[in-house]
Amino acid sequence: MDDEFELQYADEIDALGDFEPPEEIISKPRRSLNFTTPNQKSKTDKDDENEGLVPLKSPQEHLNGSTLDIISDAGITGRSVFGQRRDKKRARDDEFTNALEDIEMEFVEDELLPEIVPVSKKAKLSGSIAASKSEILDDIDDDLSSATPEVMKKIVNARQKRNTRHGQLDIIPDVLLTASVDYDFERKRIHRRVPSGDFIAVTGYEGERVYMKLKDEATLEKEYISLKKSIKSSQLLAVPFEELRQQVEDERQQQLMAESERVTSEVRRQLDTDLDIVEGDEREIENEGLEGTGPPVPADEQRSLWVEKYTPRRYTDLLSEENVNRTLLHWLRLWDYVVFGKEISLKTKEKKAVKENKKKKFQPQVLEELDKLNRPLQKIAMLSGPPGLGKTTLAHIVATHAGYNVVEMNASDDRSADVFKNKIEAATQMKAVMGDNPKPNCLIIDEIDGAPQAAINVLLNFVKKTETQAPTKKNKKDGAVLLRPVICICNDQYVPALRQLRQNAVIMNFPPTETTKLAARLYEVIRMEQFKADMNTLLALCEKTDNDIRSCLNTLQFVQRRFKELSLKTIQNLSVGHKDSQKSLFSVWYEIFSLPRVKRNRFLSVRDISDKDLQVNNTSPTARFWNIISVVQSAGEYEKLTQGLFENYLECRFKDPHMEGVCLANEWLCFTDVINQHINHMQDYRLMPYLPYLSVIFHFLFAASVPPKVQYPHAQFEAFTKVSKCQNLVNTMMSDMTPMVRKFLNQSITLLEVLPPLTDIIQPSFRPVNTQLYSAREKEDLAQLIRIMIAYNMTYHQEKTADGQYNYILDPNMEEVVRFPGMKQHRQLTYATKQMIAREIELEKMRRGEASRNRHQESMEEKPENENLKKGPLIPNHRQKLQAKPIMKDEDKPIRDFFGRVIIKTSQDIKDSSKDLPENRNVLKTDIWFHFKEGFSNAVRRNVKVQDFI
Amino acid sequence: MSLWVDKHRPTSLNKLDYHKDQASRLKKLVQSGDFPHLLVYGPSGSGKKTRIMCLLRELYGSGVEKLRIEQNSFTTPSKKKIEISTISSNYHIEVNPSDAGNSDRVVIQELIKTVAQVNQLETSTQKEFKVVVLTEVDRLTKDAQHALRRTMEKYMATCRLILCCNSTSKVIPAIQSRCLGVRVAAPTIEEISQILLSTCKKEGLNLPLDLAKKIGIKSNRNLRRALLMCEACRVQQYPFSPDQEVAEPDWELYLKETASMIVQQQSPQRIIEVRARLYELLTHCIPPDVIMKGLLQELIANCDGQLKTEVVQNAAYYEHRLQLGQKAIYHLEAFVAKFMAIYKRFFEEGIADLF
Repeated sequence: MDDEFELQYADEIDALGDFEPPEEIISKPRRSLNFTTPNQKSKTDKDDENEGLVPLKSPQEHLNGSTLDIISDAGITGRSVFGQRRDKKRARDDEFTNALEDIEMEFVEDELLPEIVPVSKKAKLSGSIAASKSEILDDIDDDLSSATPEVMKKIVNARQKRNTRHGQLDIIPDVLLTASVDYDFERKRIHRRVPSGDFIAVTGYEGERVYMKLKDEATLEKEYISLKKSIKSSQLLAVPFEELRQQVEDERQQQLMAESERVTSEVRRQLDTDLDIVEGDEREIENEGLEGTGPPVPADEQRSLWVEKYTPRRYTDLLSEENVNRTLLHWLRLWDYVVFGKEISLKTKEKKAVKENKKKKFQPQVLEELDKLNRPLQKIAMLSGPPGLGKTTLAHIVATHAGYNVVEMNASDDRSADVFKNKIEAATQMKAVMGDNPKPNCLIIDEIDGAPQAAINVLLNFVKKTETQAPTKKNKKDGAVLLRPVICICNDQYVPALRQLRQNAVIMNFPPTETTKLAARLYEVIRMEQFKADMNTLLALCEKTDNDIRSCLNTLQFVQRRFKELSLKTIQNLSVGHKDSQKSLFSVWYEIFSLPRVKRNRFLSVRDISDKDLQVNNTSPTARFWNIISVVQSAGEYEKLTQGLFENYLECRFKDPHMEGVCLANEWLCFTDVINQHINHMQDYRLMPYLPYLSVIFHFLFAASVPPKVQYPHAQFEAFTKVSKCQNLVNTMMSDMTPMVRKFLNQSITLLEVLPPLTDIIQPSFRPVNTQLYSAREKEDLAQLIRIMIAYNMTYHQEKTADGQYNYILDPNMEEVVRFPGMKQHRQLTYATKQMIAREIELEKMRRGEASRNRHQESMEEKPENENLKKGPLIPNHRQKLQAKPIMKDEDKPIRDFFGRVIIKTSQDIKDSSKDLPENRNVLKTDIWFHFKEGFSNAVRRNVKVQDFI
Repeated sequence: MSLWVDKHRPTSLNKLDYHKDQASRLKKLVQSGDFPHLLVYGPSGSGKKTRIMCLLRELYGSGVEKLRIEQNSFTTPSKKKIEISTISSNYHIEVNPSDAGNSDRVVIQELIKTVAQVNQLETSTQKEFKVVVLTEVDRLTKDAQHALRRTMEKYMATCRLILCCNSTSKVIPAIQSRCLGVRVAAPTIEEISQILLSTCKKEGLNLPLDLAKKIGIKSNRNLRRALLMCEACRVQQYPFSPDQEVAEPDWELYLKETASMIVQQQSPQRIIEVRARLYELLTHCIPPDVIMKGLLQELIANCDGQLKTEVVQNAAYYEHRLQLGQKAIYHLEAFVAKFMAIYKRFFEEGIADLF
């Protein structure tokens, strides 16, 4: 019996063996990414149940073995087990029927029997267990010898048939078949025991079971779930059931993919007729997978986006460049020591490094070194590239592949600095506690280029702070230390806000996906969606969307809703899917300056060529016209574009002996400029549409098969900065001129008329001797020069030149404004002369400043001097006596109030003011006097003015 | 005052060297007591500002010579701050509103309002009005000019305007009709050389008449330029010699070289070289219309008869475009290219006729 049993299950066990995950780490897909739709799930649930029990070696064995014990123990447990068992059998039965459909085998009884099964079992239980058991065994023997072989034979035939056709694909049907065989075996035995007519009556005395026979789906489902729960709580399985189910699903998905890939490669070589057959087959397979007579594509399925549905779920599914994938994975592995405590084996590490060095030249090298906390030196990985290349997908998959739990933040989250900080800390320092075997987090910050500077600074501080606070012990939990990898994703890595972050990150640039790779994947997708399209069409689509995976899939899905077939024509006429992509300015210039190559449209199939409008003759003037217009309009930056055209058009190779083309081009440039001015000045944007036609003219005039190397236009900007510099110089000079000079000048007069001669005038020849030795004439000349320079607010100041020498330079540097390159060199003053002039200017300014300051002082000082002179002969120093100033009597001047009216004082006031005058006069009448001198020397102090030294 | 230009500038209407009858008429105008708005126009270096200053002195006495430079700031309705410097005495204020660019209208309105709202303090000894001198009126935007015309009438009681510009063609007729036009013609070469001689005499130098005439010719009848050139000659070499070289401004020489380059060769390659030189000129703040004019003058010298009119016509066309447009370089290059095309065609035709 046992041997037979094993024989029976050999197939199934093998299949299960195959289902064991080949890789150690199987990523657990995100719930949201689950591509199976509910309808399918109900099927797969049952299906998976078989595999869910794998650890118990064989579900059937287990059931058989334990049934009796459980039953004898308690009714409730027994019931649930039966429920499960019954359900499972039902499931198998269903699948069995499905599986056998194509060999058109009819089991009329089968449809009835499943319901009977549990009941019969229970009936059996209520009776004597031992007796029934022996009877059952007898029955098995009987049935196996009679009915089964026939069925088996047919099944095996069918299986072989399909094996030849589909290879690995039919593993599931295989399993189903074995399952159904097993079920058959059981059912027959029961069939004998329970008469069908008594079916209802027998259940009657069991009380609570009566409703069971109603075959109510809902109740079944409920029981099923409760059973599941009980299993889980009692930890019957070593691995959670959910995970096992996911594993199986993954396996199946992968096999489907592998198969479809194989078929795709076949199909490429085959003709359309072959394609139809394969697709027909494919549809059959799909139908088998789905239950019975259900619609080919359930309504729910259509609602989910293909982009979500066909997201790669495994590392090997990734479409992006292998180098990038590896680099990111490698970088993540460097965290292993910190996160998982795994030693990174040096051997493999070195090998890897060598390999990588060979392989990638364009990718940045991940620094292998670890810092004090054993973290990689670059704590952030930054993925950058245009949209639709799978950056986010890559990050997610690699992170899960490396055993992390992904925490994602993107632009839809609030990213103010505070929130950002909280989130980062939560993500990098906390850990899920729910679920057994919790994984460490890996933070993925998506669309970081849109985050505010403040938020990025928070991240940056977080990364940097750890370095300064590093003295903490290894692995010691410090709240502020970043111990988890952070992956940032952005489209534009050169956003100013990211500048600092870039320095601390491994930057990975995404190259565009290979067209063929992408098209192959698209082909898989449409095959699974039973949607017709050939490789050429898909390649065309890829080209149209610039290899944007997301855009491709969305377009496909969109088209699928409308048409049943995707043809080249649809693609070409469709405005969807065409990315309104901004080409770089350089590519636009290139397009304008180069003649279009005669495009042998490689995507045209025989069928399409008959359509005239599809024969895109891209060299006809009309086509060129529209092409350039559309390219320029999508580029948008007319201003820069025009500048680029202006600066490069003369480099083109064109034949224009009479220079008419150049004149026409210039005419257009002027026209564009005038329009631009009008638009900017009047805010009249109606005229904007006329701007791009300039490019068309340039294209027709100057396009060549070998376009010139286009230079980025700098000249205008440079000119602008130079002009403003020049203006600033003149303005500084003019702002501090003497008003009398300034009055007669304005900027243009200064520039055009005054400055050129002035720079000559201020450089007379002086003898290289000390100024003291100058003749009167020379002194006058010098004084004149100084006056001029002060009047025009010019001086010399010392500057260090690049080669370390000092030089005196005009300040403001009018030489720069006035002199032109390639002109006659003007005379320059010598260093010493300039130095002397600069000094003289300073002195003169000081003198003038003092003069103006002293002017009102002198007018005040003059009076006392005059008084002194009047005092007569000088008294010797020691005889001089200090005399108090005679107090003027107030009565002399009538006191006036604020308004100028005379205030008449009363006599009392006058008495008070002149009381103590005589006492003051007696103080210094003696001959002896002391003169105290501050300081230690007896030097005579004297007031000296600066001008005396000069 | 330092440079000869400033040092020997006449300060009263009596001392003016030329246009003496005009000076006497201005004097009478002041004495008559009825002083209208003035529009003083004439080429650069002909003595407009000098005459204005003399006039002001005639009006207010030497007090107008105590000048100060002030920085005024104005706020446009769009909250943009404009800094502009004014030169003022107690009796007048001088401003160049076109420094404010597009928002010159605000400057004019605000400035005239503030000046006109305050009456002269002692009207018994002084004139009862102040004077606002606006320079470079031809560079004012149309908006500002329209704003000016009502203001001129409204504040007539307390303030007079003296407008100063090079050409009246850009001043709207409404303003022209509100002002008494005073045209200051450029001095003749004869007058210039006389002034140069007298100036040198004052400086105690001996200037040969030939050199004075030579400078006068080189100066394009611009007295300021003539005096500066003369002083530059003095610095360069003294005692003067009659055949002394008179230094011309670098930019003029550069422009002439550029023009000769255009005449030498006509090819796209040459246009690139010319463009670089044009950029150089523009970055030295040489106004594009000056460049255009200079180029044309040099080019026309190389053309004959029929060609001249065509070139001039095209120059006018592109100069007009230049005024309408933003980026001078396009228009200058367009003119250069056009000239090259015309010139080349003309030459080829000439060669074809020979055979």
